[in-house]
Amino acid sequence: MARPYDAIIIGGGHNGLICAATLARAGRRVLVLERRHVLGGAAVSEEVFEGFTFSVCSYVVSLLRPWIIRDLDLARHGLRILPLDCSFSPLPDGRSLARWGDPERTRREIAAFSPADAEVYGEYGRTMMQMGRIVKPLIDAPAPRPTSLNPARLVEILGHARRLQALPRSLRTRFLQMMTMSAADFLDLWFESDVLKAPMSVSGIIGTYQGVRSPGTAYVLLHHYMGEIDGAFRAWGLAQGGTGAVSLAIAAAARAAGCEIRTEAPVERVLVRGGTARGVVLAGGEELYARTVVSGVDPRLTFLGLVGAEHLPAELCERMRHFKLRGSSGKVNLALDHLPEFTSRPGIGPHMHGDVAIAPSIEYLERAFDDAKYGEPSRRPYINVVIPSLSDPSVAPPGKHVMSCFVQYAPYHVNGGAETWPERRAAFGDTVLETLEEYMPGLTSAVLHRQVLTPWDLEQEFGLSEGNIFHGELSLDQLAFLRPAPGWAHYQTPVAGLWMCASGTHPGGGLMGAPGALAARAMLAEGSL
Amino acid sequence: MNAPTRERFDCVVIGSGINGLAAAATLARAERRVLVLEASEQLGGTAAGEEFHPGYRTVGVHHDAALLRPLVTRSLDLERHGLVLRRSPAPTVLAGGDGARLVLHADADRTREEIAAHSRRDAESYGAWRAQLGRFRPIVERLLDAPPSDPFEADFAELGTLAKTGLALRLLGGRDMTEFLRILPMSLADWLGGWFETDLLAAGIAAGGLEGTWMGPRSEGSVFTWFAHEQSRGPEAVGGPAAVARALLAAARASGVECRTEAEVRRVCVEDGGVRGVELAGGQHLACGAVAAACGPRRALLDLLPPTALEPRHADAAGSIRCRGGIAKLDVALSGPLELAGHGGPAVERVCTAEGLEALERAFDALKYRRASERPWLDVRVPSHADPTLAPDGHHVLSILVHNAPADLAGGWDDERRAELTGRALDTLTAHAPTLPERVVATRCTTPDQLAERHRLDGGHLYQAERALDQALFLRPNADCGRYATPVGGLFLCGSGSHPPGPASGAAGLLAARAMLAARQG
Ligand SMILES: Cc1cc2nc3c(=O)[nH]c(=O)nc-3n(C[C@H](O)[C@H](O)[C@H](O)COP(=O)(O)OP(=O)(O)OC[C@H]3O[C@@H](n4cnc5c(N)ncnc54)[C@H](O)[C@@H]3O)c2cc1C
Ligand SMILES: Cc1cc2nc3c(=O)[nH]c(=O)nc-3n(C[C@H](O)[C@H](O)[C@H](O)COP(=O)(O)OP(=O)(O)OC[C@H]3O[C@@H](n4cnc5c(N)ncnc54)[C@H](O)[C@@H]3O)c2cc1C
Repeated sequence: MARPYDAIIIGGGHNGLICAATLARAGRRVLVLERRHVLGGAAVSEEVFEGFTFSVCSYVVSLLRPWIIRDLDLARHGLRILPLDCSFSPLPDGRSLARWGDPERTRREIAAFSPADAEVYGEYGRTMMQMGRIVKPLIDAPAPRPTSLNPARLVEILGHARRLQALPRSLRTRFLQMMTMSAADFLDLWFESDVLKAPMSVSGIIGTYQGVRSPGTAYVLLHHYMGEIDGAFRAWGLAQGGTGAVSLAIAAAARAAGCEIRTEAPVERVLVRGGTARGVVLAGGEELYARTVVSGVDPRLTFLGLVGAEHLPAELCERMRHFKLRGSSGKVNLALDHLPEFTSRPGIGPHMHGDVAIAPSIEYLERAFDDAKYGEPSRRPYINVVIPSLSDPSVAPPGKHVMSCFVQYAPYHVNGGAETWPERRAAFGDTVLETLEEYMPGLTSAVLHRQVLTPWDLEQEFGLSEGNIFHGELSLDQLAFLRPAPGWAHYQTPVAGLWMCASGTHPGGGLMGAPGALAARAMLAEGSL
Repeated sequence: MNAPTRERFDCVVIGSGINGLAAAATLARAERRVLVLEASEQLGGTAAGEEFHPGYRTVGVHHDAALLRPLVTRSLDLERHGLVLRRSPAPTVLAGGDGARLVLHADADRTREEIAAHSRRDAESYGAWRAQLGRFRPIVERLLDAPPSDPFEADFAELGTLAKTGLALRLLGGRDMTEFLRILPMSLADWLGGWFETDLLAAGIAAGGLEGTWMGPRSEGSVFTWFAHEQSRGPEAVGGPAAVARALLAAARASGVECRTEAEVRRVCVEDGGVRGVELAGGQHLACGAVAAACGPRRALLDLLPPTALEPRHADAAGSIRCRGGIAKLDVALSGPLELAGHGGPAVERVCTAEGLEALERAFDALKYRRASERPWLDVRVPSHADPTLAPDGHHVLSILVHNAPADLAGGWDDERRAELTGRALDTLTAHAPTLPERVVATRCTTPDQLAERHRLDGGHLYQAERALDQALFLRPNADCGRYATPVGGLFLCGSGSHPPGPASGAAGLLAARAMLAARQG
């Protein structure tokens, strides 16, 4: 029998890799097992069509914790972030709004729709930033434990409370509103123009099965606002070489610390003996042993798929069956012969270098959700477009382009059953192109190749249960000490020696890295490793 | 301005609804000289019964009289003032599609039997579900019956109260406590969907939690409003809301409260940041040291105060209080009882036609697009069984809440569209009660725009302010006025727009009055 590893990490997503790198740098003998032929999970770059490299799933880097970038020295391992300077929203009536890095320029753009909104826009940004500062310590540390009677834990909670208390009352009120309101209602507190509110509201619904009018979505606005790169709030960026470059830089850091990584090594199950995880069994039957097994896949797959109900308390299994995943997003990646213009703002200008939101009004977004609520893909979806080849020529042949379209809603539980998605795939791709064509005539004829990913594909190909991009909805009942389940929100599981480290744990999904790093720290602190 | 008359009161209460009267009675019992001013010609606010067709009366705009808090009944001795409570309320018939029926009884065992006919599994879950609710209830009631405190600004005494609530929560045990915290922000569909597979049952349970909200069962946070509504339920007043209003009025008068009708307050007069009196629509000026506004908070803060009384930030915050009315009231006069097809047994007093969670959700969807629901669901009461004086012998009245109809209907409301809504509602009910059409003597449909106008309800909203997590507890109706006091010295809010949210509990009035007394401004 081979010498057991200190830790085996299931899944080479960015969280699994960060966890591995952190453990390896602490001197542990670590093995990462990735099912696919490439690393990165949902943060992956692949040359899907010759010469065209897609950020197949995740497409913008904004949430990645700066301390992780520093701790793992990712810049030295090849990570380059190219900032996105503009958020552009074209309208069907030929008008458009662009919000720029330059506040003055943004103010002028907004003033064309509403002078009042232009005035408060800056104030809104500052408020969100202040609120980001309140939440930051919560996402950079393990979840609070409200039921603990341990004085140290109570002090922790009081610490969070005190930060809130230190705020001026008006800001505290805003904070409480943000935690409970819908994105649309919350923005109504500030703004009047739909043209502004609609594209702002969408960050509240990304990855959720909620609409912009659903209470609870305002919180997610902040989740996305917290994006910071090298300390700058509200910074968006693209990774040079595609999002997979982030994962590859982390993998390089892990390898440099002695971590072993195997791809095309699907784990079939976790070996549990006597209530303790001893290792894993690969699909071919190979058994690998470790003192600690760490799951970098989502909680439902971990517990019900890889561990098995027989090793778990019935209550946790029940919770996992009801864990809200229900993916709602799809992705369409296009290889373009040339880049058509937007009718509403002709020319291949700087407005195309940022992200483009097809979100013309709150009602448009709400209708998109209503379709999904009753089991149909949105007839007119919200689409978030980026064109990475404009900033990073390495991803497409000269003169050609790649266009990444994140699409909502595409409900996993589509009428007829999720397994009918393959038959609906082409129609889904067509809807996206038809929608974009209304703003960017000539797009369809510029398409050389297209890759259409439905939530079903995200599950089959990337192992995301129900196609949920965050390994579980970011709703209040699934956050902090409730993520993924009450009692198991601190990376440990009921199986001794089995830990969790991915997006289904606190503080949640997105290309953030915090779950992986916090899990590794918890394991090291616990001392068994 | 008119010369001030010699009349002087310690406190003027604006509005004579359940909460206004509860506040007035509480203040008067503490020896304050109190005057209630009511704009309309009768007392009782939305709880005042009226004749809507010759010989047929309503029990009030609203019809559920099981939401009066026992705290109010006890504190104001309402039973001594004529209130009769019935401890086991009438069962609710859930009328589903294709003639499906399920009766919810107050008695859990009987309900379980009913459910078992639909699903054995649900019948079992129901027991466990009720047991859990029973454990949560004391905490919810504790919250409903106490003035809300802002944990971040609590003084020593309030911290004590908060600590007690925290302790009660903790004493539930780690598992129940976590479960309670987990479900509160959830959606009813997710929460109930986790317990029950029978859609009709889930919808019937969910329905009450949606009243006075701008939510469907899939909206997160609807569990919270459900708790605030359903767990405030207690014994039911015989004679409906109107009887509650009568008892409150008797209690108030017994303590020396004076009430005037057709006395609309036009202005709350403010000097040096403090209340000095009120001015009536007729121009009369009344001096007083404090005003308790039981009318809606928006009206009180934005319409009745002089424009300069509030700093812009407070005025903004008042303007942001959401109160989008979404329910219409339909009163129906019948020549006989309401008979449900396939339903034997005693006379039907309550029917809910929410067929399933999706039906509730679709009805709500319409609101978002400023439409009335194509297929509304109905909360139907037949108050004339308990109180036969409401209709001629053998005849009956139906009181129906029609979900949903927006106050701001696209294109506006007119008689034609009201008739259309009435038609849809009656069609829905006729599907379950085929004899209905031949028994209809008269109907009166009151849409939210009319509720706003006739009953002076802000936004035509039932509860003066929407029920939602962000408009709850010390944030109700907003953070400036979350504990009854407003930024203007001596002006307090005491209507259903304050905590506890919504239903005619009387507790908002009572707690506001206590806050006034504590602030020595009553
Ligand atoms: C279409 C899409 C767009 C997105 N856009 C953005 C964005 O723009 N910005 C952003 O911040 N976030 C975005 N996200 C979310 C973000 O990408 C994810 O939340 C995050 O990448 C998840 O990382 P993870 O390490 O927790 O898990 P994953 O990336 O899911 O990693 C899990 C890994 O485990 C592997 N695996 C599964 N089963 C097994 C097995 N049995 N054995 C071995 N390995 C296995 C998988 O192949 C995968 O590599 C997007 C996600 C998607 C799907
Ligand atoms: C259609 C409908 C159905 C409802 N259903 C239920 C139900 O089933 N169960 C339940 O418990 N609750 C129900 N409610 C809610 C219930 O009616 C209220 O929560 C409760 O009656 C509120 O009492 P209140 O004293 O706070 O205010 P209200 O009853 O609204 O009284 C406010 C009073 O103030 C008066 N007023 C306003 N402005 C002025 C002014 N400027 N000067 C003088 N007077 C003024 C108004 O005329 C009114 O009489 C319903 C409400 C409606 C409209």
